[in-house]
Amino acid sequence: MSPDRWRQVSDLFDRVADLPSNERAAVLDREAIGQDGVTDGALREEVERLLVLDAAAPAEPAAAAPTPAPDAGPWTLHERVARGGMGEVWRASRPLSGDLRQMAAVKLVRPGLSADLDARARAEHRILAGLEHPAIARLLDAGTASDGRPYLATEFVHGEPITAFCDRRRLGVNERLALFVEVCEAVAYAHTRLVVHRDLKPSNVLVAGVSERSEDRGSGSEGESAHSPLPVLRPQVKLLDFGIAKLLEEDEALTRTGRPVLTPAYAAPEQRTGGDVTTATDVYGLGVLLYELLAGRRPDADDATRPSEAITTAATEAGRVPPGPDGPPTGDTGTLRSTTADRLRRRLRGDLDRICLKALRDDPARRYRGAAELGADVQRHLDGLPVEARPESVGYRLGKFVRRNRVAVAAAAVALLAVLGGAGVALASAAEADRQREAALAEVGNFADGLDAFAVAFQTGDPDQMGIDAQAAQAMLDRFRATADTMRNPRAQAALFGALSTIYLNRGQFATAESLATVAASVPVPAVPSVLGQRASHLTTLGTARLMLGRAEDGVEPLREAVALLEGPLGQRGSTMHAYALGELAKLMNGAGQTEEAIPLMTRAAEMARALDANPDPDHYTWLSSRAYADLGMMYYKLGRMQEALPMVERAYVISEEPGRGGGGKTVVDRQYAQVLNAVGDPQRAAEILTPSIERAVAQYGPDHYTVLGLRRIRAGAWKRMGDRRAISEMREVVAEARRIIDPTTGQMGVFLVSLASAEAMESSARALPIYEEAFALLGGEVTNVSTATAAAGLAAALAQTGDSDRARRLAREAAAAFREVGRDERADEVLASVRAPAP
Amino acid sequence: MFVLALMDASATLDAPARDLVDTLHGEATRTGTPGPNALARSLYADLRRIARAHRAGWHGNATLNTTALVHEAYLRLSASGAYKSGDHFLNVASRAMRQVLINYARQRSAAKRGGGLPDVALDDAPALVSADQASAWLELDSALDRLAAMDARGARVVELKVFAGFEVAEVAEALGVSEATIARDWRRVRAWLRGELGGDLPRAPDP
Repeated sequence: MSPDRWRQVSDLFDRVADLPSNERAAVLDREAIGQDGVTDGALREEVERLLVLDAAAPAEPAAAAPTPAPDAGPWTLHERVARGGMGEVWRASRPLSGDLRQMAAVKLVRPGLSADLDARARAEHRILAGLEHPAIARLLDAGTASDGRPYLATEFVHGEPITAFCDRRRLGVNERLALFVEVCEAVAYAHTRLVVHRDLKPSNVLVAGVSERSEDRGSGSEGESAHSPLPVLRPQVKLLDFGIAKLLEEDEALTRTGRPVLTPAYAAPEQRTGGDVTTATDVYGLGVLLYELLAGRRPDADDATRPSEAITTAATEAGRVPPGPDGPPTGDTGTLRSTTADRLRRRLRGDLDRICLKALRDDPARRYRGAAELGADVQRHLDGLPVEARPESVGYRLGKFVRRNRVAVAAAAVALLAVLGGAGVALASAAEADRQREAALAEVGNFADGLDAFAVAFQTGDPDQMGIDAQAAQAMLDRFRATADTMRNPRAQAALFGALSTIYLNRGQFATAESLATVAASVPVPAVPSVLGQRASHLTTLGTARLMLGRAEDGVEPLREAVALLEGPLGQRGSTMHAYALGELAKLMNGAGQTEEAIPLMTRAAEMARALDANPDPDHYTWLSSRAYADLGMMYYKLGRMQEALPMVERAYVISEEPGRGGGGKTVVDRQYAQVLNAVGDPQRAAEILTPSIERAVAQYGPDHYTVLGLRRIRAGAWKRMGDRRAISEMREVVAEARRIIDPTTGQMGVFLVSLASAEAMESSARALPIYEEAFALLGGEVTNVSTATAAAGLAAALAQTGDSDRARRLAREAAAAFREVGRDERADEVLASVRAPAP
Repeated sequence: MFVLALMDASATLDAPARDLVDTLHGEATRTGTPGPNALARSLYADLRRIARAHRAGWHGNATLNTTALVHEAYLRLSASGAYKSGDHFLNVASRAMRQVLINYARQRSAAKRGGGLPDVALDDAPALVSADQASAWLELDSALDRLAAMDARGARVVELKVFAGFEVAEVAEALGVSEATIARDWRRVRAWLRGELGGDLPRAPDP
């Protein structure tokens, strides 16, 4: 169609389109005339075609009629900037002095609310006007407008809702959290003035840009004049409508219009059900806000979905973010946070999920107590510290440690290589070198502290709760170690080696732990408390590693020094560290054959640990007291003093059943109690205790874990004593498992084999004999202590049954002597009787 | 690859519109490397936002939010004197919006045919234009070219209404004619386009 032709069509169409359809034909008849004055059928046809197409088109929405502005006291209303459930908001101003005008946002409360609102608003005014905080928009004035609507005038804020602000700038999670902390601080301030907001939602939490000139942006060449200095806006949070919801709610109650004033999606359960409104109500509102900032949507009212699970890859729903004059921001939840949905999900999982859900609990008493607490917890998260919203758990602390120290590891490596290694770094002066070296050492100290936390995590942790898979942890540990190996400064290296040795120790890698701790302990240190504290810790690790390696006698000296440091220069008498080290020293002495001397130390350690339960210090181990009593009991057990052993292991068991005291060592306590019960002739009770303990251990560690096998071994022993033949099949199964998971050439395996052999002996000495032989060989082939004596006694009995009576008698005599040495004369007599050998 | 295609296609734009797209494109990629779809979305949304904020300025409420909301890119461009006036900018912006959307639809449609181009929806952002709509947008684009040949203002009205999402009153202000005129233009042009497209106009994506 030519432009001229189109103009003809347009003119005619425009003329008839607004007419009612029954009048159109007449006009078309008259007007569809060509330039030559002849009826133009094609023109008419085209216009009619367009009319049909027009009629089929969807209706255009009618434009809203503008509302004339009323007068509101001294305020001149300029334009309406928002319209909502409670009324309208206008930009307004009033004259100050001269040409100056004060700007305000004037809220006209919707008709239907009672007339005395302004009177009560004036009363509240005094309280609300007292809220002086940079992040709270002040209430300026209240009254009644010329059209009879009550109005409230507040400071005018040039800003946009916090959610839209963040989305538009694609702010990442940390930036959002930082803004949120400011919101919490403002709300907390109001709470100290006893004002509750009651209606926290994005449209009441604005972010305004406060101008700040940027430093370098304008420094480009002439050609870049288009990039000349721009105002850089520092975000300033501004909370609107503080306390206003209270006025309106009261009004609601008075007028009973039945229309909700509050935004239901942001109202706390107690607001919906008419319960008490407290500072916890604002915590809920803040929780919704935080949720929305993080997950891009509000939480479902009835369903506590974690924010991390609420993230969708769909675009932010239209209407979620109130559309401003600029239109809603675009993009999916991840994009709007400058990340991907997957990364965001991982980022929110854990702390942030928990913080949100704690703030959103239905029961106000179970939320954060106030905005300050919520804000502080978010800040802790930002600082990489453990948050309150989560009960302490090992995996959690470990995860924290890893995240917090990923940078530290790299930083430490770089700093150490550059400064301590002196690799090509020319330092200005010796003094400067010293200063840098000290700074680097301080860094290493911090790093080592972090590693200690990591060590504690491994120590008390069970793998399932670690939240990190064991292989990854091991790989990380080995990387740390490789870093430490490259260090040339002996003191820094000692600090790292010491911290690492604790971790290897707690992972059961005793030889590595021992060699690292040996290096750490061999470096002379200055008598500075922090350094001595580290040394005490390294010495303790060293001693424990040697105990585990069967070299108890080599561990006594390091532990003596550790205890002396703690009692002397460190002044930590009665501390958890002291109780722990004392206990380790006692165990080493016990292992080195000085059980009698160990008992008083162990008693002291146990009593100290129990006193710490009532009055814990920062290092407190909840499980230490029950473990110490159990160890003490086992020392009496070893000496054959069963009547003294029993109350100690019983005490240990009772303590371990206290809530929160079980810890990872609970199974050890159960096992030792059962062992003593077996020995004092109460196998029934032993089996009773062990069955639930085994179940717990299986749930915790999995069925093929060493701990589980150990417990099953003791229970099989109880069954054997009860004459229960289940002991045989049980022990066969346990040994088969044990051969898979533990080194089959060690003494540990020997212990399992002794138990299997003694079960087999219930039915057949011939089957028992080769097993005893293997066990005795693994245990060293000679009688040195009660364990080897037990193996020797079993072997002797089996040999006697199968014919080799000479060897049987010799072994029985050696075993009996060993039992007598620890005062177990009865057992000695039994052994001798089993081979019918005369008493030596 | 899409980015290159987008840039190539933008060579068909006049220089100011190309500048605008280039600048926004730089902004969009500075924060990361968005996929082609996310990029198109973000360009489109930025343009739309800028146009809106700009339009708000005319209503005398420039104090309200505008400064904070207008994209840095636009501030730079406007400071550079690239635009003679506000409506000049809007003309440029709405043309740029059309270009972004149509290029996107073209990619999308090519990908659907297996034309060897990357599937532009293969990133996290929801598709700017669904695969079904892509051909409708391309038809609209060519119909608009035909319309422009016989009614330049009518084509501008469609661009502002459909691609920039303006209301009639806003189009009237942008083009400096009365609302009644624009309402008539729109009604007529829309009817004609419905004939060309065999049905409704595609709805502009609401970013």
